[in-house]
Amino acid sequence: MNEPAPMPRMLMGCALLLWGAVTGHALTGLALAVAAEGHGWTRVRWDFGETAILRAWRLSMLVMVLVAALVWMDGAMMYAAPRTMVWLPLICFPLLFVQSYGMAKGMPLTAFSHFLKRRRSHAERYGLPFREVYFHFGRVYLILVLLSASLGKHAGHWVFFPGVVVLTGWFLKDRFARRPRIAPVAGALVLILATAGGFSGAIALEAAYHYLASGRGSGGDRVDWARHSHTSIGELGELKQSPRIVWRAIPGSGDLPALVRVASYNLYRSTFWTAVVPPDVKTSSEDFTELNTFERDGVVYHVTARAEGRDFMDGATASDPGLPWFTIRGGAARRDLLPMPGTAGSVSMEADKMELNSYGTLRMEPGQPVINAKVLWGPGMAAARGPLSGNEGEVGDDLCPPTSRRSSGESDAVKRVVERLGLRELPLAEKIERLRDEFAGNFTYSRYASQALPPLSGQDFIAQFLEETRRGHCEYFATATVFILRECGVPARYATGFAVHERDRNGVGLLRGTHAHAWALAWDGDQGRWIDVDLTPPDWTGMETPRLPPWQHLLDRWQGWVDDFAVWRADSANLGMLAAVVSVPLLAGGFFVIRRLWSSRKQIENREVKRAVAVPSPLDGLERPAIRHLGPRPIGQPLACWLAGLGPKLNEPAVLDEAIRLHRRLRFDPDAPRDEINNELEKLGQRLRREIRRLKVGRVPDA
Amino acid sequence: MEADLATTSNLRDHPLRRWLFWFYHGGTGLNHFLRRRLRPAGIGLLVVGVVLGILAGGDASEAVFRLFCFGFTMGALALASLPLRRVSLEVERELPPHATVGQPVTVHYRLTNRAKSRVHNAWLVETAPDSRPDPEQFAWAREPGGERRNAFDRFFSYYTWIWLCESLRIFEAVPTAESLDIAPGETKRHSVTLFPLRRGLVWLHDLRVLLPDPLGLYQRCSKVPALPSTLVVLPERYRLPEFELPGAARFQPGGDARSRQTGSSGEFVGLRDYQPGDPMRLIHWASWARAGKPIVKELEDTFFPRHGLVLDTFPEGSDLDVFEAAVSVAASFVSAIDTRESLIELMFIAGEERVITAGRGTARAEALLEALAVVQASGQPCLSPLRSLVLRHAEDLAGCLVIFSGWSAEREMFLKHLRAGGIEVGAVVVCREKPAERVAGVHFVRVGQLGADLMKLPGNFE
Repeated sequence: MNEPAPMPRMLMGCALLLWGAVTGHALTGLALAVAAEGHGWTRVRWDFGETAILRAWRLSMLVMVLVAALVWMDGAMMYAAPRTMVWLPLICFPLLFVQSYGMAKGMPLTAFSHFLKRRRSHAERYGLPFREVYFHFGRVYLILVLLSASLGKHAGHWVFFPGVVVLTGWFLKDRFARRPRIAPVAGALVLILATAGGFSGAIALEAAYHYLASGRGSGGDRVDWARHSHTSIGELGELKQSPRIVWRAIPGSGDLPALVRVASYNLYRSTFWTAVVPPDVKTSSEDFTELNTFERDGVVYHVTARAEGRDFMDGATASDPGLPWFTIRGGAARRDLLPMPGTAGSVSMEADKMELNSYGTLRMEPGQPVINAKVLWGPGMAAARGPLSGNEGEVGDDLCPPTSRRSSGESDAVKRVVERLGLRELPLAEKIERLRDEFAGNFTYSRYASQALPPLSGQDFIAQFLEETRRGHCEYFATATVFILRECGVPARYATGFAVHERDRNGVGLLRGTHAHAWALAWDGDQGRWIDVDLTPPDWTGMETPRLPPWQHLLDRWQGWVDDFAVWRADSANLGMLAAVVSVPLLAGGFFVIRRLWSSRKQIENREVKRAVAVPSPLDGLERPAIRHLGPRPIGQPLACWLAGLGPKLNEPAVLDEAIRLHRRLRFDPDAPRDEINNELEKLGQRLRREIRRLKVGRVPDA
Repeated sequence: MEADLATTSNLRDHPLRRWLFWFYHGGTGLNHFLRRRLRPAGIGLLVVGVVLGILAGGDASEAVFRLFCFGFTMGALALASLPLRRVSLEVERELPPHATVGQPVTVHYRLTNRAKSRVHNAWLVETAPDSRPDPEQFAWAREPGGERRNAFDRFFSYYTWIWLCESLRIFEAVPTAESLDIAPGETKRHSVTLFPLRRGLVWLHDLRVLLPDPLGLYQRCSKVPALPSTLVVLPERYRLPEFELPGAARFQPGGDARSRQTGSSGEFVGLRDYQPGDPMRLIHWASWARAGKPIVKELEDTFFPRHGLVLDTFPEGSDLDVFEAAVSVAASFVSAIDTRESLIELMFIAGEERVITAGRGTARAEALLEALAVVQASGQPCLSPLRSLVLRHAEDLAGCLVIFSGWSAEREMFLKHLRAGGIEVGAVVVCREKPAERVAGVHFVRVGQLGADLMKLPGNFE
């Protein structure tokens, strides 16, 4: 059809500036914007052929692989693709350079596809028809810039979306300019409707997304693992867990803890365990308190051990060098929970924020993608507060029965088990031992759940487990333990975390997805602390470990290297050395490319030649009388040169010379006094006109 | 061995191949439908929508959702505006007499706007006939070089499908260079450029007007009522060196002697006195004025050599590319032979025996080119009818040039029979690869290098 109109000037630059602002790479955005718009300010161009396009494409791919590797090593496993895409404007810049600074109007699609290249070479070889498709990369690049900007960390800022709307309107300006009468109104209407669609659609999509991702029960909020834990209780089929190593517990001083807790909860409802905010806590803080820090020997420790009430232990005691310690290492999200033993005293790690709730759940915003936290722990310490001070049976109370709203089969089943085992009157330790014997002897650990007909209410799963099936995974055992202990009057909670039972040759504890575990916490009133009560039959660990696929040890080793490298890289001294090593080949490559470009540059002609505006001169009036003696003035010959031909015929040629001098000054000297010269020329012109009229007409030359 | 694998009947009759045919057939049709209605910006918007959808699934951020919905709303608005774009045009097509393969041809249209509103932001385009092959063609097609492809490509035959579609495409149409801008009731002239890709009769019956939406994302593709027209696309012709056709000077009456004019005609040989009965138009008035008595012009009948041009319509191995090249070679000879000085008799088999004569007083060379434009390859290779046809005309022919579509022992025998029948014969063989040994009186030209190889032909074919 018609060739697409060129993109408006500065549009790309503004888009790149928006990208820089939204992604937090303002300097990079500015540099890219200047380079992208620079082709309009310079006449330097290159005659790039298909080879150059191919090289630019390969360079872009190489940069993308490097960026992806860096992003991946940064620990963004799940979000590696979006985080790599954020850098698309930089990654694809070589292609934009070839397009903008090259002389070709478009790029062949063949340069980007191996299959198309093969098709073309086959067609050339056998003389077959082949149609090459060309496209302008500038438009593609603009879309990439806006796409990658939407993934930036500040894309939620109010500036971003209006910015995109303005850029879109700018881009479409020429389309609407075709019909000036209705264009501004129609264009504005379309943009307003599209903006409204963007806002309202986003709300609907977000609600739909969270409904689909979290289910109806979440109420549209994102799942906060510090407050909620969705168990697999009641789910049919096999429980699936990843064999990937999530954390590594590297021994320091003393042995490693048997269980590391990620979060604790106290309210069970519809297969969800929830940490209810204590009544004395304002809900705005979500029960989380920022940790105090203590510096010892240049190392900063975050104190996690609690003293009486809501206070924390003093830093010197919590970071006592004599305490046993270990290092926990692994990748984490921007906001994550750190596994640690219930008796953790302090944690030393690089973090932007660390906070702890009443249940001993440590939430952090790590400073590095791979966490390397030194955890000091000891028997006399506790990260969780004591039992909640609510009334008995109240929601959120650590003595709360399975359901507080109505009597159910589950509560009755728990009571029957307590009565059958005679647990009520026993001391805590005996209660636990008797229950352990019961579970070990009469129950079976199983990751597979089968049922003829699912129960109508989710609250009967534990009753079925206790009285009918007597088989299940750790969540069944932990939940049942909590209910039974509470029925016996022991405050109890539900804890999730990892069991440290697999170690490598160096004694490093490997915490895989398959080692994720749940157990109960019981309040030992005599000692005034929470104790871990893990009553899952001990053979469960043996059932998990052999499930590893044969290639898992290779993946484990690779992940270990990546994590260790990330920790090594986090050290500023190491990072400097790494930057120096990487920058040498990059600089050499860049120098080579710039040198090649410099030697092959070309200049294009200035297309915007300013039209010369003829300055009116009194000598213009001499052309008509002079034609009788000089013939018609040849096309393109300046008037002054032509009139100079009269010189030999005049009595006073000096007058003509002076008039020509003044005429040229009037035309070409911008600083000349125009009025003065005009007056002078008027006089000289009249003299010359009279003299020309007196001349005899001779043989007139042809034009 | 591998090459044979793809062409075995087992593979052709594989049930999956039928399914593949319908899959490719439907896919190509859908692609054609969408490409005429989706503009590049619309394709870009769809791609961005898919990418944003994937991103939203992975990292549900409000910005991604907003951008997605913004683009979606713009696309929906553009789509909603399409039904509002309507035109009512009256069209007259003005076609040139001929077109030639590979040469762009301009078709003019007289457009009258019958609507009450102005036609603007609209483009005209001709629709090429459906170039998708039929199941039989797909089953039996052998893509040149296809035997070198891997087993996967050979089995799924996607490249064969693409090649067939491209090969069967008759012309490529480019929309009008400028947007239509016609006031109500106004008549304007616009032109569309066609690029004929194959010889034959082009039936132009589907003229469309493209009406993009205001955002330029999609376009309506409305059919414009216009009477169907036919355009003859002549075969591609190549330059030939100076040459002499084979055969002795066996002159035949032709030209004026065969014209339908009554009375004496022919070449001027001199003047003589008037004799009663001489027609008035032979009186030479100037000589009568000088001599003072009636003088008339004396004319003599002219005779021209008659050459046979035989086209082999049985391509070796059903290689249609070779046949097309052979037709081009024949057309090049037709164009190069001066039909004012000789007669050409084009002979070939196209279901039946066909003999077309061109030369002075008969048909013009264009008649031969038009015949060559529509000649089709015959499926079953059988040269005997062609041999009989040529031998029947042996007495009239000064010589004969045979254009073969491939080379085989049967063709060699064909030449021997013609020579045995007393015809001076030269032959040009179109082939993919030249054979190692030379054959007397036979010249080989390759399909991919016709232009260069034809220029190397000797001046004398004997």
